[in-house]
Amino acid sequence: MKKDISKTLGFTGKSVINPVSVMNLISDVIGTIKFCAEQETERSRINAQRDVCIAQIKSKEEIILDYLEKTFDERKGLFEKFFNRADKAMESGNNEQLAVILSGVTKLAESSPFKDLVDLERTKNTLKNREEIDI
Amino acid sequence: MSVLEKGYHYVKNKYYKWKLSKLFKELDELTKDIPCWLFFGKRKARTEKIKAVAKELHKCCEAKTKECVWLLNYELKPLGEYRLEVLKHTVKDFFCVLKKMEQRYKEKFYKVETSAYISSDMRQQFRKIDVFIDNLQITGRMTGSEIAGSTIMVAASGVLTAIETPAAVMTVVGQFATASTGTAISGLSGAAATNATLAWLGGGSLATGGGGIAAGVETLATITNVAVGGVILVGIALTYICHVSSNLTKVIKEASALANSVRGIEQRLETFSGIKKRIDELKNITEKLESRAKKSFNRLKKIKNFECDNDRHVRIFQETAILMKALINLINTPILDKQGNVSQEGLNIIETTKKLIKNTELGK
Repeated sequence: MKKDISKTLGFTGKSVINPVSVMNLISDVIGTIKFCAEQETERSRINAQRDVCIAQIKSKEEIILDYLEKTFDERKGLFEKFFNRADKAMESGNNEQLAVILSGVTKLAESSPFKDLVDLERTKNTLKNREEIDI
Repeated sequence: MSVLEKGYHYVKNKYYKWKLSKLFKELDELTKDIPCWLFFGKRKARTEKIKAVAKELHKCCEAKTKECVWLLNYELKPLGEYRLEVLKHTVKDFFCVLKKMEQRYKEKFYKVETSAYISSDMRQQFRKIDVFIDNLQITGRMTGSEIAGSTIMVAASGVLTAIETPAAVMTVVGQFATASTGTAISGLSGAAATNATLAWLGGGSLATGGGGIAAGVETLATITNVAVGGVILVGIALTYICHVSSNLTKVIKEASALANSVRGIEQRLETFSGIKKRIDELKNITEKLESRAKKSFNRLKKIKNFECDNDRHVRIFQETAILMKALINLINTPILDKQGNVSQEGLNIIETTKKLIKNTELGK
């Protein structure tokens, strides 16, 4: 293996150092230093990017948890209102109204409380401008 | 699924959370502040260490996902069992009475049913559900979590396996440490050894993102141009320095991307608390509706001779039917979406992870 490489490289063992080769070597050393510095910069960029990503993930988590808490509280309030109205409709024997109210209950239950999480930016704005919904 | 078991999985979940934060910290320290004086042999060792920590990170994320899915199944079970009970008793009893009335009053009763918003389609659906309940009582096939997770008429197997997807996808990363070529050279001989050496000089094989044999030959040619006496050794050393440096950058880049994905998955797992709230919400409103439906149904059962022309009788039947219909719809409501995911966001994370694994050394 050693012999093969020596042949491929044209190394005979008797060569004299050529000034051009030395110049090339110096140029390669400088090139290597430059390359290593570039790699250093690239690594710093990756680390900075990672920090940005961590900050984004943390901010997203806060939005999600805040949204979940608020949305479930709001839904709880809506369900309470629906059932109060349903009780009144049952007391008065108004089945038409009861059907409408219960259809509202099932529709609200069917609507996923997680659906707004698809668009976090929109969720963030919704949380800011949230108003109470009246039945 | 006992309370003790839940405690065990809860502690394990907390442990993995702690371990993940420890690994994130370790990875941060390893990738940040690499001193310029660090000897190149040590840089190579640092690269290997980063790879090992990334591998551990993946394992830990997979284990934590499994624990979260277990805990979620544990929370789902009581709702599933409760829904099953409502179907077997309250709904089934109503169907029995409905069947008797249909047989007894025939055409006349269909008009009463229509006035209670029970269409012919709905009657068909009721029959299907009735058969389903009968089968359920015979075979008892569906588990509590299956019933809770999906609809009555659709087999819901896979609801929670979909949540497990990140773990399944991440398994591919398990082969993290097998992609290195340089270390195996010593064990090779002949043409394989030459090829491996050439590939190594080219910055690793093509498969690992390096320049491959062709680049290795080029490197050798460059070395040949300046190769006089001992100068060749300096040339090889320079190539080696460049190789170690770029390899370190590459591994840091991939490990950072992996860590970010794991952070995203972990964040998603933390928000699973929302599913617990959803389970409680559905259980609570089902209980409220069932109590009202039962109350109304009891009033209907008290009528000894039901008359299709009696307004009071018809009104009580209407009320019971409307409540029962709403109860069935509620039991039919899935907790998660059809894919078993909390939201599109979850899917996005999985997709990003897939792409990441596909395009980097981590997936090979």
